[in-house]
Amino acid sequence: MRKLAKYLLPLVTLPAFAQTPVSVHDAWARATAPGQTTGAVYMSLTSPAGDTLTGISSPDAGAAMLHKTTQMNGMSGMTDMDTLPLPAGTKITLAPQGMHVMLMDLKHPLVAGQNVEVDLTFAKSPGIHVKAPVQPISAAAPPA
Amino acid sequence: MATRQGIVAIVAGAIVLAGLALAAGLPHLTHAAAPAIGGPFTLVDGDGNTVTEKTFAGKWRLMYFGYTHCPDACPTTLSDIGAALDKLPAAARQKLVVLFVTVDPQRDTPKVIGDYAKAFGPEFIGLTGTPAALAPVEQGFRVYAQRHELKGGDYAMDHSSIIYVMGPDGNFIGVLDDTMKPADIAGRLEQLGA
Repeated sequence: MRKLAKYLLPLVTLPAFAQTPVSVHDAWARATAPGQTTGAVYMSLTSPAGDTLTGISSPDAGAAMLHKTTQMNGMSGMTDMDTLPLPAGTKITLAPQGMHVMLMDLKHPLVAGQNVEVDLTFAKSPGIHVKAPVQPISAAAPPA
Repeated sequence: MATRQGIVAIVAGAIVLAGLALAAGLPHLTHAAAPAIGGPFTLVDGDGNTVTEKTFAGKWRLMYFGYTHCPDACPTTLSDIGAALDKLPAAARQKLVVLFVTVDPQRDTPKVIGDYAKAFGPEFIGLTGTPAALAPVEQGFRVYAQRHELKGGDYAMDHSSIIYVMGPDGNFIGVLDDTMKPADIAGRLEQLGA
């Protein structure tokens, strides 16, 4: 019994978030055009220990979800992604014409120079509140 | 999660591209001998004016089909076209319009699509119409559009994402791939004579 406890104890006492948390870099969004009620947020995520992005919400939108724009043979479509695996040490990039956080029913237009906020939840790491700078409508990349 | 709609879209896209390749003589994008892309249309711009294939006679036309609720592909492509136009000489820009035609007339009223398109530059004109008015345009350009339900009751449109280049005489010249970078789009337009 004592032997078993020796093995079990570290498991129980380990803090839930002992691992190095996920880091988010280069978050940005493109300004919306007049009348546009959807938006996209782009960013890079790295999990040193491996994790899964399990949920997205935004105080600036009625709904937020992870989408992937699929480009194949001249067709553009969108696929819902329920979760996004983050393999250990691998930088996963959300960028135009690929994966993006889709914001629906925006509560206000996305204006260049302001921020749009997104909350990310993960299977293991603590959640992250992301402030993504809004870039001009002509932007194609995060701010340098 | 690849949907059945997605597969249908991909197959339809392949058929469209195969047709375009035949019509345009891809990959050389030379003048098509017998252009089968285009044709007459009657749509409405952001100010409620009627726009036909003759409205912009004498100008180069870039035509792109999409919708304003599109969060990624459409604004990225339109933004890339805008950045490409910035690289063209002013004289070339004045002889060119970009027509953004909706595949989602239910949500894209003339004002909505008109205001949206203008945000990408002065050459951008948003066009919409009744489903009956849009159907022949989609057919003429071999455009495929399919409604796709999203979680929460909203919907997106899967659609052909190709930039069509029409010459000043209204004839189809070729297509630009929507994954091309602005410098490549500008270079190709100059190469085509725009």
